[in-house]
Amino acid sequence: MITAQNLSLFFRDGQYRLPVLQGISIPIERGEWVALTGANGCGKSSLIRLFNGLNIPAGGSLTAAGLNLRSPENRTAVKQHIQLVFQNPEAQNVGSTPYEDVAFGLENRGLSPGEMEKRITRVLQQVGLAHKSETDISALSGGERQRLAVACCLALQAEMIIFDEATSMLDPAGRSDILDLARNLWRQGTTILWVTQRVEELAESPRVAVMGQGTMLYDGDPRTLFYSSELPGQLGWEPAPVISIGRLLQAKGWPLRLLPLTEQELEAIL
Amino acid sequence: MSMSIRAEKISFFYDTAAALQDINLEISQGTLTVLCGVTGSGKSTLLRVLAGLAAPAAGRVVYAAGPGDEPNVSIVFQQPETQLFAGNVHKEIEYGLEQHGVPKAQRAERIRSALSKVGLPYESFAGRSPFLLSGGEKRRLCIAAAIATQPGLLILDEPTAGLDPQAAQALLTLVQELRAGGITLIIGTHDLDSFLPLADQAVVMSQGSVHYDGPAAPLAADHLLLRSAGLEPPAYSRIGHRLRRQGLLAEQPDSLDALLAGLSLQLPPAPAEAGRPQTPEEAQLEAPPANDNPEAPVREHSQTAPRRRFWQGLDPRVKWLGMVLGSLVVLGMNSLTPLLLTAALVAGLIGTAGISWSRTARFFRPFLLMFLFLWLLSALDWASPDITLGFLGFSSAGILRGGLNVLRFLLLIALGFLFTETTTGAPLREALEWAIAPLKKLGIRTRGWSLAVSVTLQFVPWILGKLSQLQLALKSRGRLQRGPARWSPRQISLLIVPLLILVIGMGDELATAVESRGYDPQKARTPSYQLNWQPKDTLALASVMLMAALLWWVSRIS
Repeated sequence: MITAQNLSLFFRDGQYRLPVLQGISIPIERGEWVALTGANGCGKSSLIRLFNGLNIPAGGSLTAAGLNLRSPENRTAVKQHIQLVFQNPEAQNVGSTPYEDVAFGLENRGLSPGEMEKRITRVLQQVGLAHKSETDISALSGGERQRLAVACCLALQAEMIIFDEATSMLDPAGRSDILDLARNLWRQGTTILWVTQRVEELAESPRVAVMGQGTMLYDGDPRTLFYSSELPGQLGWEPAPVISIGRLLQAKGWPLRLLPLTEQELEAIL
Repeated sequence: MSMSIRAEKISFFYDTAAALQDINLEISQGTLTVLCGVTGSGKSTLLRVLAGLAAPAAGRVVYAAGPGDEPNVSIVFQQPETQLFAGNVHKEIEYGLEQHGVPKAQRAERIRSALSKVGLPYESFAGRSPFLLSGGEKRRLCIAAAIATQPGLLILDEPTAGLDPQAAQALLTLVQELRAGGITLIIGTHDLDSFLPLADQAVVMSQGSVHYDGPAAPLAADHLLLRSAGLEPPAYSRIGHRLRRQGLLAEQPDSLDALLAGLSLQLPPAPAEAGRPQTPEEAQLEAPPANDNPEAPVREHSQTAPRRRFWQGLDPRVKWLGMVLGSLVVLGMNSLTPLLLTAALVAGLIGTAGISWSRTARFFRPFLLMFLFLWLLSALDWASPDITLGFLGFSSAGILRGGLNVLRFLLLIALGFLFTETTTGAPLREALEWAIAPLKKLGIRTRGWSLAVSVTLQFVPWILGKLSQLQLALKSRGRLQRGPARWSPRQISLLIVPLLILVIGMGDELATAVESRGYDPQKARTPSYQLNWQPKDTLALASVMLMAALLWWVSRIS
């Protein structure tokens, strides 16, 4: 889905060039679920904005959905394939009702009004907002607004959806709601890049990428990250309860492949 | 001076809906109380009432500090980093001290000590702009500003939400240090894993009532009670519960440390060649299915819906014309009669459009106070006052002139309000694009302009909402002021910078979202909303013209 090699990006501040990303390489296969994390300001958001053509790489090579993103036309075209759900639920709705909001993206695609209506109805149903299609957006909860943002991605038939800390401003109910929705889409074949600050969400992902100060610090499976890497300690992560118990087991000589990452795994092995 | 708090039979209403019902609480001096509950449970409202920022409809809050002490309460709201006001860190904290009447000579020492308590050394931070600090630093600065006035009670609403793990950990340490310092703390949070082990007392809110009030440890163990309030028990307690069932743990742990300590004695040795654990994929496939219908009950405005539908069904071009023509006529009015006539007409129209009273009031409230202030200002007359109030003098000509101006502005705003309330974004944009289409020949990008206008109009209520949040934040910094004092020039000047930062940030995020959805002003577009002129629109157009002409005539002859 994405081939990124040796990517770099700078912010210009007068005559200075401040490095934002340096030497980032990350391949993402079609149908994968990758969790991406890193402290605030480490360049995560800049990186994912490269993937759907919002940022322009200064160096390195980047192909997304088979399109070389060095060319401007491809940076427009890639938005058909890769869509973003942003962090702030209040700042990504363009219409004043869910119906209008989904329609906005479709209007740019030259669809017939009939086809548009069919698609809008279908995706609103898919995210459970069909009964609110004409409600004023300001009356939706944060979780509902994020579901609407997902509906917009689905209407554009995106093959990959990037969630940029999309649950960080929601309460626990809204958070698990969006996470469940993303997991359902993943099971149906959508590629997901899940950006998060929550350690337990990393542990539950098949693959974890960790960034720090514009570089990739780790990219691999979570078991190795949590049980045989110094990184979590260096980054000041408080270990999740399951991992703490896993470390006790590790101290008793349990092999790495048996150490638990989720509560279900813990229950299964004990 | 630490204090204790007692809430007695508190009730609070938003419009007519009860947000809090008959709340009784007793919070002892020097303790840490965790207040939890799902969104809409009344948690944030209760924190505001306890902070003295919102007056309860019934009941009272009793603060007991030392004898002769005035109750001094500080509150730090959710996402306080959007509520910074001053040019540098020193001034940010000084504002609250000044409001509390702390003499200038003592302020520097207080600021230094507050900053050191939150781990921001005075030497390296005092001169820096608060807006350029990191997320975690901003939040600690807000806490420093709150503790600099030496409150007996400190209230924190969601202090760790949205921070990265390292900053969140630092904040937890800070909370423990504050508590060790003897201050009474109330923390509203969803993060039970982090805060319940630190708490002396826990309160669970559910649907505006107290669902649990007691020690924290039994609450963490009572999964049934937590889940019935919509909350998830902390992970250490969930795991502890399972391990006890499996016979690996003697007693229910009250923290992660207790869980690990209890478990380390009884853990089984490594299996020789046991079954492999599930891969994450398998675990996820077995995860409980998503809740298909997690909807909260929907509030329907059933009786107003048909009336509003009529207004929304009108062609947006008629409504645009009505608003523009109405505004021009109002601008040309110079006497009271036509203005009052127009006011009555607009009020009637707002009534027929089925816009609820509370929504209208919420929209107009900030304007009313500001205009009242402007009115008083334009009526001031030092030379030959007709009316004197103490040292202030007002002239009757000034009162009339100011009144007319204010009324004219209010009517313009009311016309805009009526228009945006009865026209959703897409029709509004299509009609505008239709009207300005001829400008395309002059090379003007009409698509971009119509999108910008429709999005801006939609965000007016959002901006007003942010403004009132900022006012509340400012109010919480000072001694409690009510009424028009909130609109003094000093207060307004303090609000402008954070409001601009919020609006610019929002504009930036929206522009990114628009671009991300493939918007391209050069490309052709197929509108989802089709303009469709009908006989009723011709009728409406005729009424608009007639009314405008009539009002114009009245304003000429009076």
